Amino acid sequence: MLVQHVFIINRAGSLIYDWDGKSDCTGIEKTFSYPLDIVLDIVDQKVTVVFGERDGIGLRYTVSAINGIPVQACKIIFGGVEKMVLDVIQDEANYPLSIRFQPPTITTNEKIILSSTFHSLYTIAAQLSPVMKSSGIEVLYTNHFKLYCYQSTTGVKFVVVGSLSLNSGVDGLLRRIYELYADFALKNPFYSIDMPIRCQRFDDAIRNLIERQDKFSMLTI
Amino acid sequence: MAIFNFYLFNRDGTCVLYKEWKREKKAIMSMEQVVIQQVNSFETSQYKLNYLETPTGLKMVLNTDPNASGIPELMRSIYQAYVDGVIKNVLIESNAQSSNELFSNRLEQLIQKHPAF
Repeated sequence: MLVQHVFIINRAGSLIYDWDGKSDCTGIEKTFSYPLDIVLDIVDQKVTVVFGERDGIGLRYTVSAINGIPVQACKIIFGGVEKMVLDVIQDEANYPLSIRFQPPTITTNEKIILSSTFHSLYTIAAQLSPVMKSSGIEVLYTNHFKLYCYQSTTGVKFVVVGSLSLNSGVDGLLRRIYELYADFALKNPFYSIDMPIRCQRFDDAIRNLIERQDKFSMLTI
Repeated sequence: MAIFNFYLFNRDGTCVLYKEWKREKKAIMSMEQVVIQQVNSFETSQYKLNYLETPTGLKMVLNTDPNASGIPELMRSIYQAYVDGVIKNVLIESNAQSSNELFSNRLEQLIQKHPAF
């Protein structure tokens, strides 16, 4: 689908809502012989590929299972004993090994960190502007996705991360998300301003809106 | 259509060259601390920041009008001028602050002759 993520960031830079398009997170399982030609290291408490892309296994992929046994952070129950995954992989007696790799995913904490980072980048882009009266970042282009941001006059940011083919109708989508935020969050008497939004109707409305965006690509507001 | 300013960073994030042509608003913070990675460009309502990073870690930032066209090709030309004027000059420590007149003049030519300037 075109829209991959939706974030709502409050005026202090905290993430108050996030929506995920369910992308296929199929892992890749292969049987390896000694020595393993993929270089692994521990990054953020996960056993991660740092060198040696092949057979669809890319950089930053993480080890999720060995011989069908799930990996817990950096450790695994191997031969009845809890061991470090890297020790199991370096021991020749354990081979051949069937290792399952998972594409990189993003945790809730990482979403919170990234939202705060984007809040700062938005302000820096406005401050470093070479021309007068510039806003912050409105569109950010990378090789794999586009990030669209709309900041309301009250300072709440609505961020949509979409694929490269998401081109038209994003302004309308962002303003429509703003309308839904006003309808389902601000009009909720139990909702505290700047707190995370936990409202099933809001979730449903966002999902329906994005499904319509995928189908028709140009919203009639 | 306008090209506002240009930054060149080495792989350590140090600003080795800064040039500006049509900048109206001066920055409050030090420009040498700006590091943006793995992004092609971003737009605001008034300007567009174009970014190029080489595999060896050299980073270029060029701020232009949002409607400027042909900027990726221009940035590759700037990189080619950098290679010709700085990398191929054995007397220059390429990580240091760049004061190479040949590269500066070539950069000025490329920018001022570009239709987006």
